[in-house]
Amino acid sequence: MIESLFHFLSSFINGLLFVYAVAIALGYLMLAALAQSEMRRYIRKNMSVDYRVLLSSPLAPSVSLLAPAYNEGVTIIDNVKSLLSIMYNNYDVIVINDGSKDDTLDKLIRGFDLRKVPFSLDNKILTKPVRGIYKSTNRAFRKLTVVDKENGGKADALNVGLNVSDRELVACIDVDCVIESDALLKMVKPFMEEKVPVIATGGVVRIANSCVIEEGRLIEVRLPQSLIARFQVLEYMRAFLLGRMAWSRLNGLLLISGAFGLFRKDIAVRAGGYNHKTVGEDMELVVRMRRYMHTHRLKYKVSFIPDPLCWTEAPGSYSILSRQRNRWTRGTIETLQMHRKIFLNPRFGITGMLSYPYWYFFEFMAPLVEFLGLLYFGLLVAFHLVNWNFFFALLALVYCFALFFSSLALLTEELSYYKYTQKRDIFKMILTALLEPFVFHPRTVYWALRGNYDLRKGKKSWGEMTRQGFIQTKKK
Amino acid sequence: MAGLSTLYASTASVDILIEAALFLLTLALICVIILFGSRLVKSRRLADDAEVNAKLSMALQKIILIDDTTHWTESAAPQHRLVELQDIVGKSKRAQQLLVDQLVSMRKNLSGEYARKVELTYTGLRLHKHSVRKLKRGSRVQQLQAVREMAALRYLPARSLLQEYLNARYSVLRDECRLAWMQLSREDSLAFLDTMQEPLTLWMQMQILDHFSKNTHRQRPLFSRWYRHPETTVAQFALRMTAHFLQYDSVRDVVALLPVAQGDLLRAAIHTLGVLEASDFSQELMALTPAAEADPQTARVLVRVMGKIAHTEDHYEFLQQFLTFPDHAVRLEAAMVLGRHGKLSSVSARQDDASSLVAHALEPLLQS
Repeated sequence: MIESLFHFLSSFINGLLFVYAVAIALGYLMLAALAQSEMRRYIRKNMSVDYRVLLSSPLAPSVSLLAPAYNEGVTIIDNVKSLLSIMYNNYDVIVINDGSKDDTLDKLIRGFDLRKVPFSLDNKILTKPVRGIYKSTNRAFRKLTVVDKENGGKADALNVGLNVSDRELVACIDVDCVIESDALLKMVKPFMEEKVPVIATGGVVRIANSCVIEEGRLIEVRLPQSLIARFQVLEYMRAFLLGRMAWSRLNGLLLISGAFGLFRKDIAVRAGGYNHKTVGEDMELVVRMRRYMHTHRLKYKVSFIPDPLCWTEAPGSYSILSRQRNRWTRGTIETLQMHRKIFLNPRFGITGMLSYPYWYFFEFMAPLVEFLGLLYFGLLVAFHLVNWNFFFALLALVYCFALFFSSLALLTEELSYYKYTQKRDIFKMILTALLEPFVFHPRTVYWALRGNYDLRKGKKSWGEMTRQGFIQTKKK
Repeated sequence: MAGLSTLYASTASVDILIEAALFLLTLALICVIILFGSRLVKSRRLADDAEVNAKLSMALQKIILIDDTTHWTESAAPQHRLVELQDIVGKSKRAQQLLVDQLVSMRKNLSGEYARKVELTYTGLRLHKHSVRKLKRGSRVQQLQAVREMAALRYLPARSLLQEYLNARYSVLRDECRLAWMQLSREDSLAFLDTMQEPLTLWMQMQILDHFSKNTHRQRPLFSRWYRHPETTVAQFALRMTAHFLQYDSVRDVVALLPVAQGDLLRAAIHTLGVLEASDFSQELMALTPAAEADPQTARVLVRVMGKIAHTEDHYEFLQQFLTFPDHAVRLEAAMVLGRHGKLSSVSARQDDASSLVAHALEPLLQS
């Protein structure tokens, strides 16, 4: 009796795991195939676009760059100068000092000749109090507005930016990121060329560790020297080039990276702005904007472009990376919980029927299933129930799948916007792909599990993010 | 229990797994081989291209920029110069493409006699045949490339070829053909707008505007022709162009739109009247109060435009009523325009946030 029950249970669990594994593998493969087609379409379309037309046209939409800053005193001047030199005609820069405890505001005031102005602010979105708004007395910095407010977190700071801006589009960026000078031109284009209104656009974020940066500008792209950063390079390539490209094709993109995203301001405000109750405010805003459009039966598109537009410093140690991944997990779960109403709800189209379920089953549940699978495997080992031949064959299959997927990501990068031009970089990345399933992946599963656990315990903080800084050179 | 094997499996299933793993490994290896191959080809091509480009560039500069005494005609481009280029290109399709790319790039930055020489080099070397072949038989990428080349290098006979692609199913090719058609037509170059049934994207509008801005010698159509176009985006575009090129003759047609237009079209019409400084029609604009009250965006545009043309007490009174408008952006706009006219202080007490509006409106650093 017990034997047959155990037999039934194990068959059931085996079946369930098998179905899940096949579904996730097929999901990845389909997304990769779609991404290839979308990438080709994008490149074909933009092959010989002359962005100078956009640069000089009076029809170009107006854009505000919103850059929240918290304790960024060391690099704030260079970063803001870099933002002020972006190639676009019709834009302004709004830096929001989110109650920094260091000298961020003082440096801004001195560096850009700022003076407090009597700004009549419309609090369309409720935020922490604004202490003052500053404009430069120097005409060279007339595009710059600095807002000083009480500390309320990144989402709150961005909401202040939404209140201050009077432009059509808002680009929400991390002030410590390096933005390519033509990034706005490329990001704005989808808003202008689609027949269906575009409400948001995201671009590829790349890892800037080991790259050479000069006064906030990317001078030379280099592959990171540390293995941990290279793991993240590979991970970002897979996520952006094979994942988000495909979701863009399906018009089911749920996440635009908080490091650099462009949004229709009116829709972002009408949807309620950023939610400061979650640490995944970037994903939450996109989901809420989508919900808003569906609820009001408005046609829309969330677009993604594969050009590398934004370079960010990736965590350089496992302890810092664990905090980042912990936060990402909590942000994902919080967003999925907040919008559970759209789960398999046909009223929300692709978002409800495909994107949300995908995120639920393959992003949120994957680490949990993997962990439970390991427990189950441990149980089988303990009871000497493992067919080792089968186990090793299965392990080889999973490993080869991971290897194939990473190789495909590397190839996609090579055939599109290859940035790592040295031949030895390919060898290094292949080595990274070979090691990743054993060295990096188990850790990401563990961090995701910790994220789940911490969320249940009520953890809300972002976690300290210590940055090592880019390789800075100064003009002679 | 000992008889159970949860991860039990026959040799056959193990074999299947191993075969599947080997298959994926092979795919991964293929990816890596292509990756290396691509890198090798790219490196070699970069070096080769750089060499050919340098030779082409030198020869082209000699022909087009330095050799300014030579007068070229359609029938008589100096053959000895072309032979030099022909020698560099040889029979290589790649070199041919590089030459066309250089010609396109040069043409974008030149005008007058120099531009004409670039165009004649293109036809003199019979490179247009290469473009025509690509348009007719090439992949989508090549078709797009061909259309752009022929348009950039003003190959006028291409018009008859492009006609069949003006309604192509592939939207990018369709749009490119329309733009090329416009660039190659001497008259009625925007005729395709007459039958346009899909939205005219802002991107297309920008390209058209750019074309007419750069080519001042070309006759611009009177854009009022499309004010009543069934596709709103075309009508909006026509209004924008009227404003941009200051087509004052169309003012009455724009005014005639006011009672019938709505939403974006109405705002575009109001904005156009502002740019054309149509102060004679202030009454018609002030009659739009109900539309403005219903829509803050319209109210904001109306206030801005009235601010531009206001010159009587009636106008200022009209603007002052917007200081109590429910939408903050409209109140601020009203305060700003009244501030510019020096009419703000007497009415500031009416609104709760009046003091902040007044201060904002009068702050020099906040004037756009």
